[in-house]
Order: sequence, then structure tokens, then C-alpha cells
Amino acid sequence: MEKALMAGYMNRSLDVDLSSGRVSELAINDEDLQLYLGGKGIGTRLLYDHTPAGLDPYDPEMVLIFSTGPLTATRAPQSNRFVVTTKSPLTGAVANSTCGGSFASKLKKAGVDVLLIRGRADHPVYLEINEDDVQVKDAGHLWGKGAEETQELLPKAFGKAVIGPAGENLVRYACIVSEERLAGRTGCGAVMGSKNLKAVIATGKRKVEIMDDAAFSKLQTSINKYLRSHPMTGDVLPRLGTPSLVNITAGRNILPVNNFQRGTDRRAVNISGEKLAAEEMEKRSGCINCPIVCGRSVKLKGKIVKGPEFETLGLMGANLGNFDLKLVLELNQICDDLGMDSISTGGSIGFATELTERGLLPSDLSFDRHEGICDLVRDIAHRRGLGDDLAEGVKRMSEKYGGTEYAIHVKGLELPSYDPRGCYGQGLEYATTNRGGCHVQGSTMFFEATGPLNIDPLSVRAKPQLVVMQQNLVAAISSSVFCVFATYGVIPGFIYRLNPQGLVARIIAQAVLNSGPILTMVLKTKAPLKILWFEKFLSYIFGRKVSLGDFIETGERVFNMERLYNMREGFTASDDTLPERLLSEPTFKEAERGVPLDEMLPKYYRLRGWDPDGIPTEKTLKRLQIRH
Amino acid sequence: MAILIPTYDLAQEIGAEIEIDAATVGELLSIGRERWGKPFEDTVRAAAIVVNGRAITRLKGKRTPLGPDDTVWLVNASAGG
Ligand code: SF4
Repeated sequence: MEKALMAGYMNRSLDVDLSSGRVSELAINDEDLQLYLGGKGIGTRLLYDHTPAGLDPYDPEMVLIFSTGPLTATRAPQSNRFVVTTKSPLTGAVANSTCGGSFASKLKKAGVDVLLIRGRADHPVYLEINEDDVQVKDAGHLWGKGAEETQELLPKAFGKAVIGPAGENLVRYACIVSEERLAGRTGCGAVMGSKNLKAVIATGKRKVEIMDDAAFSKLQTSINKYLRSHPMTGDVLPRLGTPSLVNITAGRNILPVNNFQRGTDRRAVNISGEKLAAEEMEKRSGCINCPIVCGRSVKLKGKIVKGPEFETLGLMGANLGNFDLKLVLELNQICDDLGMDSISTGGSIGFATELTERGLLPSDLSFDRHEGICDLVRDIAHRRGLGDDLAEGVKRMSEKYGGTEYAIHVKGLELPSYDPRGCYGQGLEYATTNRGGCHVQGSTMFFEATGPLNIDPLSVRAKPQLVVMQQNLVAAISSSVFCVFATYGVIPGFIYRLNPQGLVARIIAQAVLNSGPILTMVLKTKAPLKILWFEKFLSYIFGRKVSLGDFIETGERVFNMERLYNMREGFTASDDTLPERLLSEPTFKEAERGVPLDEMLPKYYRLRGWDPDGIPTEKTLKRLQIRH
Repeated sequence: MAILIPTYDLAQEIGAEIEIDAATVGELLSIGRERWGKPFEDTVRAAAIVVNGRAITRLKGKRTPLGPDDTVWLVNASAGG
């Protein structure tokens, strides 16, 4: 019997074996698509199902999965994204990273929901997908080239996902580059490099079926309008982009300075988003079909290049004691072209600098002088000299040289640019996020420190609930696939307009802080309504009702699926922790220690339906319909 | 005496780092209003006032005492990653 086609999907996924060159259809059952949607959800399910326990990330049998979602290649705002999933060579845990640009949309228009790549080519290749025509082609002329030149040399009409030299040389935090966007974290680019795969390119003209097209279009128009008029998505992000966070984090004492030795520095204004916008910005840039357009291009040595995000300003700037904006611009551009995650790069150099200053590593690194740093970054990508050690990341360097107490990583992933000692909920989020120290799997710091509310950052109250809620929401968003910046529009605009010192703002912040029991109830209730635009878009595309409760439950399922994968690979509750420095050294006068993780973790486990050892109970897995 | 670090926009008008002789946040705000008028007034209405990283709403509000080592930042809300 012919299989019924599901709206929102192309109903075709590919399994490409680079060892044999064989291309076949990848069978994904409809039930899994309904349970995991796409993107990160289906990627994690497939990673679990298609690899045996303990498989090395660089083993040819490791899979590298590019997945779109039901909303990819539609006109829904912020939806043209793909997710890459594999096992991280940096952490040994689940690796996933989302990326904008046009590749996601073109891959789906080529008629592909999921592209699973396994095996290893015996020479550099790239994969070209033009609807039914799928070819593995020689990439000898591209090998060794930067991400920018590689993309220029590939055919124009195709969407591209490429690696730079860092991926080729198996830098453990190499990323995948698509136009000027990056699937940045966890080292997916190194797994791609281990397969001798330089690029995946795709194009096509197929259309996504939307069951209720009229309602979908109407919603699209109204959400675009809403996002454009919202103070965050319509003003701050377009005007200043993420770099606006430099001054805010410095003011809030959560900007990592000199390898997280302190949380602020008055010189931060020299690398601020405002200064960047006033002095360096040439134009704005964004992903297709996004009304926010949060990226910025800058002029560097006479060329227009992508400007840095906040994370790069934090990790390659303040965290290295570097407050020279032009130098950060240059480092950012070098990292992007080499195909290297600037967060892990900055984290690794920061750690090596502290090791040097403490006499544990023989090098010239210093938080006060930065000459030669651009060359060092190039050395990392090519694994030359000290660069070879740095290419291994902070965790492995600390195992070799010492300094584990100030090796700033979680589960092996270097921390982003928010010091959790000034936002405890963010600390819990770092400790529990499945891919390791990451800020975009919940962004709890937004509620505590960087957003319009100030839900006491130095309190543990209601934080476990907030973290669980946010992690579930973001997991669902990344499975649909929307951009996580969509979450900032969820907070009503009027809250941003409140006087932060005013009574109303204070009452709201205090109410959230006191709302632990209510939030616990909310977490246990499956809201039957359609409230946010995410589930509404999904309802219209599928032609069946998807409630907010269904949507959040999908996120919870995906989060637990990731947890199961990590447990299978040997992770335990002891990995749900933070670096010693962040647990024990306070950065605030009134704090006696760093992040009081022990006060939050047991509650977090209970809320998740996990046992005291952080293992999902059978009851939880059954409720979430997770097969294992 | 405390150091005031204004938002970037305000800093274009009043300077990036200003020493102010004030014993409390309230006093600092009065001095600011007097010295810089409307631009200062508009900024403090929209920005969070933060002393050594702590919002004054979590301290003693305008009565928060200031000493010579204290830094007062005016910060806007943002988001990103
Ligand atoms: S908000 Fe920024 S990153 Fe997200 S889709 Fe829009 S342009 Fe891309």
C-alpha cells in the first residue's frame, strides 16, 4: 500500500554512505516525525538509533545528520534553519547546532527532510543534491580553502554547508559554515572533516504542502508585524544585534574577563555593540524570511565582512583581556573563515593564558598583550605548535597541563559569555544542558540579568522551574525549526517599556520569583490551547490541532532523548556540574560562594521526572513515549 | 564618590566614566538630573540602575549607599546569543 504523505514534510530522507558512495532512502516512520517533529528532535532520535553505544565520533560509522523541520522552506518568520546532529568530538555527548542562511530551505526544496551521512570518503569530496540527482563529487580543489572561498567556488544556485581548514584538521570545535552563518558549537565540523566531506550543497524547486494555507499566510503577516513592532525583535536586535549585550553583561557583573577571573571591566565599552554600530557597522544582514535581521556587516581591511556576535566580543575580547574592537573584528573574521567556533577558541586561549600566567604552560600568552594572537588562531586551525594543544579544547588541555579548577567548561564544552555567578538559573542551565556549557538551550540569564525583568539573579527560587520550562520550549523550537531568538518575542512588548525601577516591574519580577509552586503546576499541565505562534503555525501546516501543551511536551521528549543518548555514552549526574571556580569563588560581595548548584539540582531532577541520580524514570519515558 | 558608567548613547553627551560625589544612589540621580537634565532623566527612566552588578531594586533602591569603590552602571535590556 502506498504510504500517505505528511504535510509539512517532503516525505523523503537520504542515507549517504561516503565509504561506498551509495545513496539510499532513509526510512523514518511517521510516528517518529509526529513525536520529534524534525530538526534537533529527529536528529537526536536518529543518532540514537543509527549508532552503537561508545562509537568514536571520528569512526567512519558515525553519522552526521542534517535535518530540516516541518516549517523549513515555508514563509513562517525565523524558520529557515537546519540542525546538524552527531556525537561531539569535543565532549563525547550529543552534538547539535542550528544554523540559518539559505541552505536549510534549499535542502528541503530539493525534497529532503533529513540527510544522514555515514562512512568516510577515501579522498576529499562534496555532496551535491539537486532533487533526485544526488552525487558525491571530488573536492580536491576545495580542500585547504577557507569557508568563504569554498562557497565562492561552488555553484551559485545551491545552498551550501561547508567546513574550513579547522574541520579538515579535526579541531575539536570546528564548525560548519553556511553563507555567513555558523552551526558553531560542539565540533560538528570536525566530524564532517573526518569523513573527508568538504561541503554539502543543495537546490531544488519543490514546495512544502501546507494544509491550511490561508490561515498560515494570515498568521505569517500578523507575526511579522508583531515581531517588527516588538521592542526587542523590532528595535534592539535589528539596531544593535547581540553585541548590545557587552555593556549589559559588564554592568551586571557577568561578562567573563581574563578566563572568568572576574565579571566586569570598565573597558568593556570599547568593545560594545553600541560602539560597533556607531563606528564599524556597514549594513545589517539576516537569514531569509526573518523580519529581525540581527546580523551586522563591518568593514575590515577594505572588505565587507560579517561582524561579531556578542559571544565573540565576550570570549575573544574581554575573556582574553582584549578590549581592542578592531582586533576582535579581525579574530572573528579569521575564526569564521577557518570554520572554528569563536566561543571555544576564546575559551581555550583564555585558559591557556591563565595556565601561562601561573607558570603551568610555557608560552608568550598574556592578558595584557595580544600581538601574535591572530597567528595563534591560524595555528589552532592548522594544529601547529601550541595551536595543536589549543585545538583539543579546555578539558583536554587541563588534563595535560593542570588547572582543572579554572578550566571553564561543562561536559567538555567551553562556556559562553555569561558568568553564572551573577545568574544562578543560567548556572543550572549550563550544568544540565545535554550538549554541555551552552546558553541557547534556555537562555535563563535573559530572565535574570539581560532582559527587562530582574528575577533576582542571586536567588535559587523558581530557577529550576524556569530552567525546565525554557529548555523544553527551546528544544521544541529547535525541532520545528525556528530560530531561538524567537523566544524573546514571547515576552510581551509592554514589559520592555516598563521603568525597571518602577513598581510594576518590581512586582512582576517578585511575582515570578515567588511563583515556584505555580510554575511547577504549569509544568505538569498540558495546556490544551494554542497560545504562541509556534504551535499555531504547526497546526496550520499539519491541518490538525497542535496545542501549546503538545508543543512543549515535544520539547520535553527531545530533551529526555538527548539525556538518554548521553547516559548511553557514559554520562552521569556527576557531569551535571560547573567548573570549581564558578562553584566556589564568588564575584559578588554578598555571595559566600559561586553558583549554589546543590540547592537547585535535586529539585530540577524531580521536576523532570528523573530519579535522584538524574536518570529519567520508566514512568517519565513511558509518558513521553520514548523508546529505548 | 562613585563612578558612573552611563549607557552608550548618554555617554556620547556626558562622557563614558564620570566620578560623582554622592553618598547614595538617590543623591547621584539628583546630581545627574541637575547637571545633564532631560537626556539623563530619559535614560534613567528606561535603564536599570545597577551598583557593582546588583540592580538597585535588589538593594536599598535609591537609598543604596555609595562608596569610593562603587561603580554605578546604567544598563538597557537586551537579548541574544
Ligand atoms: S533573528 Fe537573526 S539569527 Fe534568527 S533568523 Fe533572524 S536574522 Fe537569523
